[in-house]
Amino acid sequence: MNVIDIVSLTKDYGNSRGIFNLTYSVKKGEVFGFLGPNGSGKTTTIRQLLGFIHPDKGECFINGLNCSFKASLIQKDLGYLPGEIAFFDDMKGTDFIEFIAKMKGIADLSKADELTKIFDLDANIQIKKMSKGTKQKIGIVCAFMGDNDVYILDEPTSGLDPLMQNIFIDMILKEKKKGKTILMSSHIFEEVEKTCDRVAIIKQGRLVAIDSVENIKNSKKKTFTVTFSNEAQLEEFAKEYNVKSQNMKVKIEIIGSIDKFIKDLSKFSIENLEEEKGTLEEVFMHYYGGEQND
Amino acid sequence: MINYTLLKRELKANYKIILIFIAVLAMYTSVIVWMYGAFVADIGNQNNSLFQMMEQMPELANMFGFSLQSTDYTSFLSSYLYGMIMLIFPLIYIIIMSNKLMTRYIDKGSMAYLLATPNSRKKIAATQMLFYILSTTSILILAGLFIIIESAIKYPGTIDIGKFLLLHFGCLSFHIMLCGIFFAISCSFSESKKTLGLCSSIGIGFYLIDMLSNMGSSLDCLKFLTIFSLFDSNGLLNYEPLSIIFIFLMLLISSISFGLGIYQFSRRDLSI
Repeated sequence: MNVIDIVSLTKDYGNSRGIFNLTYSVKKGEVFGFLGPNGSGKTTTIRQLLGFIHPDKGECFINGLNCSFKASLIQKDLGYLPGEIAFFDDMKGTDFIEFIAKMKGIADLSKADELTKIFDLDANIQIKKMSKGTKQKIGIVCAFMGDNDVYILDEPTSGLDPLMQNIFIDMILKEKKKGKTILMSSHIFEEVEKTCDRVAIIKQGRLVAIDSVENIKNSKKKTFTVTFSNEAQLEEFAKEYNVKSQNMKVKIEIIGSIDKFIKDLSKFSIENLEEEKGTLEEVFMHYYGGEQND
Repeated sequence: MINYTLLKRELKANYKIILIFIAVLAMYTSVIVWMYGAFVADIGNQNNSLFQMMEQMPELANMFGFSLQSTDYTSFLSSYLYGMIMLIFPLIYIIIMSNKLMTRYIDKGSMAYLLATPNSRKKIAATQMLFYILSTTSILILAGLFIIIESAIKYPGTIDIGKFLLLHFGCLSFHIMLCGIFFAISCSFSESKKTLGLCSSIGIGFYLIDMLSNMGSSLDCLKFLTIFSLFDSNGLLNYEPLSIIFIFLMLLISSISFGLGIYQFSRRDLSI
């Protein structure tokens, strides 16, 4: 059963900006990651799911309701976390949470209180005096306090410190156990890796990959630069792995498990081991094992 | 059809501004009411400074609607209050609120939080419209009450209540018309500077044309170029049918504008 259906969704802003013929679905109980570089169309897609903007072509549905025309109906059972923090500056955090609860028709604030505790949030200060991370926590509380069945989160851990990011990931996993459906956009690969079942990757408005996280993990390429202290060992290693050496260094690309590589390395005298963090482009594209045309 | 939580929030966020405008109008109306006594007492006295100003700068006086045509109290109020003060001060409030009630939420992105709720866009817009109308009406009703009470205290029995109420209602309708037009603008734009720029230009621009049209017979035709002409204070004091028709026209324009605003907001793209 599909909770979210995106069908040939197109929104053209000119200059190749926008989204083009996007199609994917999110099943019930699934945590679905929506990955892409900045400007690739993640927020545009999410805005159309929320009914904030209307598609040029195609449609999207949540629980069978058309997002463009039945937005307020869909909102009865949706928790949303916007990508950009924008609250009412003239309120305190606690007042804002209560206000949103009333607007959403949430009478029971126990979940809001629970979330406030979990995230160690001091909401009783003026919003305009809050740090970015604190504001993000307010957003998280507002999104999840309704205990809805569907959640749409746009870059949910933006502004959170690593400790809070882990707390957030734990919370998502808990919600998932309860059978909630979650669509989460991100450009942080690690966060998606830990929580999502499936991932869609978007680039320049087009879907370039949609697969389970498991498959992606197994085909992700890592690039290492190893510095040897012994030239003879360097040559031996270079031959075995069929790579060129330069200045006592070799560059190795490993797809999948690095276990064999590490075990092999342990036989040699190694001065330095560095992992090259590939550009997002490379990470996304090379997972396929092939080149993509731009 | 409206959301009371939002309505209450707007009241809480804006009550200070509303009180300030009520206080300012209360102050100005008492000054003008008090002035009448001095004006009438000095009516034959050439040393009357007001009289001197009129003589030396008749055009300036006419621009603001000040005139010495009659010493009737209600006409006096009409000239000295409803030529500038009762037009400009509520106008400033209406311009400020035009941005605050719709565009600002879109500009800042906080509209996302209002719409990520089971409230339709129509409901949100209608709630803001209601607040706009109620707050503007409250300011004007209180100002009117101040005038009536102050008049009753200082010059009992002098004010012509029927004429005054019609005059004041005409002024209120005029401001409701402005609310409608500015609300439609506010619903249509995503940037505060555009909404504020357009509303200020319209409000102040039309007022300037109105002032110019009062200056002399040759400029009289300018009255067709400004919506301020729909509030015909002199006509209302004389119960002229055309000026009463204008009141209906202003309320009609306001209804259509509000409707257009709500419709526009319901269907447009919001990058929030």
